[in-house]
Amino acid sequence: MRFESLEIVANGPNGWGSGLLEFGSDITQLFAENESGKTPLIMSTLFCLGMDVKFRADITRNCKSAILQIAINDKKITLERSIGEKFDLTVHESSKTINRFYNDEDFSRFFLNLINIKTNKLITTSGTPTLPYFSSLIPLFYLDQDHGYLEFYAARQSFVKDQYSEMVRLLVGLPPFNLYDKKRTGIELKKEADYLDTSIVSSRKLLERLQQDLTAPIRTIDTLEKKLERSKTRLEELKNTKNVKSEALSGLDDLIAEQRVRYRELSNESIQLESKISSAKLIRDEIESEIQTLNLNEDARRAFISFSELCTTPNCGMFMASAESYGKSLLYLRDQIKDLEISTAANIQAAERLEIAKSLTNRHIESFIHKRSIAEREAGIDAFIEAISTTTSDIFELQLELGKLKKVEAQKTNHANLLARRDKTLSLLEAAQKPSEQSAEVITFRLRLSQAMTKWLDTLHARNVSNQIKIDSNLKPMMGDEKLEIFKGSSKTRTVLAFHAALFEICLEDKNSPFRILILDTPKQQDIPDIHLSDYIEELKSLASKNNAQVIFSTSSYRYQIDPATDKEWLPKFGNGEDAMYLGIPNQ
Amino acid sequence: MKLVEAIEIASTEAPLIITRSAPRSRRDALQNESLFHMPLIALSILSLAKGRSKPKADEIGKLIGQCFEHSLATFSGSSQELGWSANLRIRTVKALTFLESTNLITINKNTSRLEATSTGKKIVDGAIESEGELCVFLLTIQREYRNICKERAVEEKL
Repeated sequence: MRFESLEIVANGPNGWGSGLLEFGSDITQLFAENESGKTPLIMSTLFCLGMDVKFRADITRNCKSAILQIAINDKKITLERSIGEKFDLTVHESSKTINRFYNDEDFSRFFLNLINIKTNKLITTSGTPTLPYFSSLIPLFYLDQDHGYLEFYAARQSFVKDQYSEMVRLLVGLPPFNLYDKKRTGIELKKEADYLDTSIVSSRKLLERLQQDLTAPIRTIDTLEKKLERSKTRLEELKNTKNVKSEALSGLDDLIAEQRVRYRELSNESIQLESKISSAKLIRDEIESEIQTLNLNEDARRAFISFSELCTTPNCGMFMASAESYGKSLLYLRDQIKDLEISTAANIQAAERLEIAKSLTNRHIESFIHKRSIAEREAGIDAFIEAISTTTSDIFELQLELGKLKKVEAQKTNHANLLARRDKTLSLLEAAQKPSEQSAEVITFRLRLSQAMTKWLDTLHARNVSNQIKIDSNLKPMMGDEKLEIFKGSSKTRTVLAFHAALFEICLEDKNSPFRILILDTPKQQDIPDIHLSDYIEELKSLASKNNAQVIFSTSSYRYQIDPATDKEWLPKFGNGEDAMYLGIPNQ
Repeated sequence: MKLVEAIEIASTEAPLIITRSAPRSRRDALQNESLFHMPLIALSILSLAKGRSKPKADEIGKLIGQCFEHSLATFSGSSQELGWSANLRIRTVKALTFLESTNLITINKNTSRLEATSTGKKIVDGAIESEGELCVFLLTIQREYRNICKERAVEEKL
């Protein structure tokens, strides 16, 4: 999801509007004095995404609606919400109205679906089922001027059980903590997992079959396309040529050269395969000698035991471990030889296929050379026809191979998608069946978050905050042994800023995550020196430009030097000097 | 045989003999020592044996190999073919012997499947509670093992 533009529409000819404000592709900075209307602009952006905002009376009186234009993949979506008491939000796509919503719940469901976020029913604080609202996610990427810097998650309403943890999980694609009706959801998920298991097996089989169909050596799509292009040009040249004989000869020369390259590739591959086969033999021999040593060991043990002077008790246990492991080791080593033989047999088959391909290529080369020598002797026309027909059949074969290769590639992507889907389903299933047990995804996220937070605290020069960050099971960061509530002033602001930047960074690591926006409403500048804030913003900028993400922030003292190509600065357009405002009467 | 003849024969056959007996410089396949350290293998075996479907004793080497291959990102789809690795299997046997002799695992005589004892389970639980990379690895291995079992069952049905 990307923000494109924002506009506040005036209420009547004497109302206040903002004009069209475009967001920068990396950074959007609202730089103005206090009380010039930065916050209403930022809030109306989120207002269009369903957030509950209480505007000041003059804004409600003078402004009619806010229009936010966003891009989701290739879709251009316009969200227009009227400023007033009632929830009234209209969604347009390419200037066609696609839906109108009169409550947050319906809009949330629509919007989460639009940005491809799958939701599950959660539990409210009173135990009833609810779907998560998009507006509950907003505090994770938007820091409100007043409360945003005091807590990790400053929600306006908290009605979901463990709302903070649930929202973070939803944001980064982790399974929910408190699923509603775990039993039924579990049964459904199990069905889906079973279905996916079956699909994965057949998809893998299909992939194997398609791969077997490819002719060795396997070339990349790119190389094949280039070869095809060359053959086509060659055919064109042959068609347009005047000097029939020399063209025919050079055409045949090309083909011979190409077949030779192919022959060399095949030879290389077969050498590699042979070395694999022979090293399997080597390993087999090693295992054999290990078996032999094992036997010797056992004999040696018996020799010791039979020597009664050494130990009079028959079961003294001196070599007990050795005796126990003997039989087992023998079994595994033998079993392993069996496996090795299977894999070697497969390799030998592949080597045989390569041999056939090699001899076929060799025959091609010989026939081309023969044709070439005939062409050299005779007057052109026969050879010319021959050259054209060989080139055409070459093109045909290349196209066939390319088609097969493309099929394999498509199937590979398909297979990878299925695997990813199963992984997601299984972690959801685990959350439904064993909610109290550890989940690999959650722990990975916790480790990653603590790592990223440490880095961002360093960027913000937070000296008084421990860099031993631990994320607890509710996903709340602990700085050393301290919770956020203990911190005051600058340390608190820095910790909150570091947390949000870390979360932002983690979202961006997933290429498909729609959460690629971070909005900071006037970071408390009295708390953090400009130079530290500057380091923070610079780092965010580089993160945003690398990951197709946007950072929006407002400021009254620190001013970021924008790059006109990728950033935008919004300055108040109405009025002059210190009285300049972001909202005013248009055309005045 | 005259000396001259002998030299002649020797000189024609020499290259053949040399090439045959020359040591191969490439023993590339299946040489990945650093991967196979016993403690990790032992813990992995324990974590498979702890789950509901117990692994068969005579498959454990291959299973551990496959689980490693799928769980360590860079090995999935690589040519290392850990599932076939001989070294890994030898180590797995050693690890299993250790687990058995320390009474962390028992082999069910009737089914020949591995079962973690209560002490064995405690060790895995301890490792999983540590919430570090190891915990993630063990959980991934458990899921991989689940996938292998399920897929095998589907294949058998087909």
